[in-house]
Amino acid sequence: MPGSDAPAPPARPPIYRRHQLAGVAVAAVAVGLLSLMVDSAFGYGLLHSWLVFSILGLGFYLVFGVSGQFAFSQGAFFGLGAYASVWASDGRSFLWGLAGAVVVTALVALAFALVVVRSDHFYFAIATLAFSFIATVVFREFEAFTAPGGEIVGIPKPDLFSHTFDTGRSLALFLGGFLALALLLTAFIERSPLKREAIAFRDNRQVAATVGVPVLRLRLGMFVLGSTYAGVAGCLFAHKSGFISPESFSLELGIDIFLILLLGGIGSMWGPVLGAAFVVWAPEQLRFVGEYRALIYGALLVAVIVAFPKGLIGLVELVWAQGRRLRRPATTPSGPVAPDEPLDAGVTAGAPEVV
Amino acid sequence: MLRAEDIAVAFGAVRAVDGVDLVVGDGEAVGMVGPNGSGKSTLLNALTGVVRASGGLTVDGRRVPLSRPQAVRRAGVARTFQTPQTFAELTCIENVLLADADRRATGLAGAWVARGPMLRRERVRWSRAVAALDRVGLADRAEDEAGLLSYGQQRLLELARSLVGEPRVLLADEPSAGLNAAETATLGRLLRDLHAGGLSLLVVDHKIDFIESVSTRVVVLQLGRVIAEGPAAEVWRNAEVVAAYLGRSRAGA
Amino acid sequence: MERFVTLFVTGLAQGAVIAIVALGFLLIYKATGVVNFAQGDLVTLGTYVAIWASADLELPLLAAYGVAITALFVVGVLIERFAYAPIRNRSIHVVVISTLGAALVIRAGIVLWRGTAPSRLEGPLGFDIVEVLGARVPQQNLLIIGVTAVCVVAMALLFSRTAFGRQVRALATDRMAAQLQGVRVARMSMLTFGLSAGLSALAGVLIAPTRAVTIDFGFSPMLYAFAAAILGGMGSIAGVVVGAVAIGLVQQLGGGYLSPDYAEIYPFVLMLAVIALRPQGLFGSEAGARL
Repeated sequence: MPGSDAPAPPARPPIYRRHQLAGVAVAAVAVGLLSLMVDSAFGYGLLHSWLVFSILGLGFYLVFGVSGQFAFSQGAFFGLGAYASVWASDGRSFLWGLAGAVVVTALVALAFALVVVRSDHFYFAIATLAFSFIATVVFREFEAFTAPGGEIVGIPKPDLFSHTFDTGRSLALFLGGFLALALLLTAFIERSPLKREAIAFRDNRQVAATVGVPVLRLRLGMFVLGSTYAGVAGCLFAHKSGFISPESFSLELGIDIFLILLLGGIGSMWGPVLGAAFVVWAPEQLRFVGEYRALIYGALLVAVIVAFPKGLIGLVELVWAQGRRLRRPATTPSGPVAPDEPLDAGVTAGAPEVV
Repeated sequence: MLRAEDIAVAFGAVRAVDGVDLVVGDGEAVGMVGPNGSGKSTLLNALTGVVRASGGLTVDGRRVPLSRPQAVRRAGVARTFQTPQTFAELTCIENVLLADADRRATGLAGAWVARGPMLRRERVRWSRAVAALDRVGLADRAEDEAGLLSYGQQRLLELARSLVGEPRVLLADEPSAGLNAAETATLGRLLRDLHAGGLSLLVVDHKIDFIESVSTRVVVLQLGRVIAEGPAAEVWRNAEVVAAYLGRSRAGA
Repeated sequence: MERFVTLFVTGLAQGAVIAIVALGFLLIYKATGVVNFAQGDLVTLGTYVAIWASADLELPLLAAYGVAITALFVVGVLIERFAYAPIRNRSIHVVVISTLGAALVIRAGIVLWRGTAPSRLEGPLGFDIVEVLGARVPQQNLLIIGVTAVCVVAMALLFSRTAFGRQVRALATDRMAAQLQGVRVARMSMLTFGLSAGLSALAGVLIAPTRAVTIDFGFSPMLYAFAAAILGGMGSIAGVVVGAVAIGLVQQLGGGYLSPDYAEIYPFVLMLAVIALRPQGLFGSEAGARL
């Protein structure tokens, strides 16, 4: 019966009790350590790629994982950010390039989202595919914005307040700083009403609307936000690689980003970080199989996706849950304690983080 | 306080709702019945912006656009669905929090920049949500994912979610469907309590006893039109109503 | 005038091939609700099989075509069995990813089998030119248009006059009801995937004489086929064919009279315009999403 002797619900809202912020701190420290431990140009190359693709994947997590928009456009915005940053910085400091990437990507993403606002899931997906294709051609042909054939060389390493990040280590720390920021901003979203609204939107737009969720604003906002993450990643990519061409941003990238997220786990903000690590690291490990690499890689990805619907995060969850079960006796299921969840949603009684 | 005028919904050539006028007075509890396919659910969908419809909706004297679900909700019209539409991956309390009327600082600004105010409001929203869950008896399941609840509990969760926005009128679509006798009785009690507390009701259902227990006036729909209206006892005696349910030849005999 | 005719016929021919791919894609979509992102790689695979049959097995061209179409039918069934049936009941996202994965595997397989150097496949009419309304038009284009017309009529008859077509339409309208009525869903799935793959092979061998055959060969036809389906409203064969023709024409005429550098994207600009202004497509009847 209502009101009588039900146990009191917990005093703190759930967003107070999760550990994403601790996770961000741990990630930042880990990246710092990695930057110090790695000592080969090759190793730094992998590290830099991992950092950039993690940011790219995080953006896609917002677009697809959290708000359920099946989009192939992430790669295109990655490229757009890269070209926009070169065009905007044009001999000036890196910050101009960053600003250019953010502004151009956000505006184009908003425009595109408005054009296709009346389309449903399937048409939306195809429209993003078309957008990616258009982007590739524009990168190649629109020379005033990009360059002849879309190939740009000699992009300077990033600089900030007259310090240039041109060593492997300093660049890794620089990119790591951006990843930490991206993780922090994403964690803030996880710890806010936006997260539950986006999930409601993802699961059932119509019912969400009848409940009062601002579905149009959410749809546009998440898409623009996630695409802007891609733009920032593109800017970083351009300046870390020194060279960009339309081939770097082909449609295959848009598809690969899907696989990054699904592999890592679409239900968690840490999924893209894990997925990016796998995508950057695995091809190296598979080198020994020589020409069968692409085939095995493709089949492996599909097998993981089909067998582990929650991705690598699902594996981590399994291990974590096993560990918890070993350390604690089983407790009653109902009652005001949330089920065990790893990294991003772990529950500890009495951990009053308030940010 | 809720006035629907000439509501019409067409699916191709089929007019599922064919010019319905409906009034729910302030503090009134109205029941709606009708044979399958009479357009009851479609009418509710029309009123809450889920399907495209023509006609007018006035709540508390103000016109509300039929095509905008959020505007309808803001005007104080809450609804539940024929099958409980809860968000399985969110916890019960998160489900309820979604519907809170205070929408300030729920966006990106609140998440990134104005975290202090956002968290303060969240605390208040939280206590309102807990109260709503408590009202329907689900306070102890607050932290459980909605997908783990039983069918009857999901109905209650949906009800709690409707209540937290401080609605003026609740449109309930076959709330007793799928519930056993005990659960139906609990639901009826709950609805009567809410009505006594000032909530206007429009309850669509098939169970006659249940309708009679929660409403004072009954509207009968058939093939998208209102064919009878009035106190329950009168309505069941109406020849057209009998014919609608049993078929013409029987009624004529 | 001649220029217009040449462009028009080329556009018609291109649209015709796209129509074939689009029909294959529509078939699967109607029967199973799946968007087959491997469609493009099936076009490529079909072409390579034809090249192999013609160059390595030294079969006459038409026989090589036959081999390609038959082989791809089998491949289509295999995809259905391994990449679709096991996850038929999972969410649509998983199914789509699965077809993407199948595409990756097919693509990698082709690279392993035939390498990455571009190949060629001739047409049965060689490179002969013919005069139409005073313009010089490759005979291959006329052949393509002719074959497609036959194909479209065959498909239309298949859909409207045969038991197979009835069952596909039933599945498209209401899967559950169709199953309850006795439609053998598994068998239909396999048949439609197979038929769709066969159509892709046909499309591939028709385009091949006009382009170099590379690993990406089938990708744009697939994209254009999606656009054609959207333009036409995903509903009927006629709509899709009209959409495909529109795409071919827009690309050629746009490339000829506007800027040729951007020729490839005009059809997609058109598609986006249609999505923005008339989301149900030119001939579709469903209302666009309201949210």
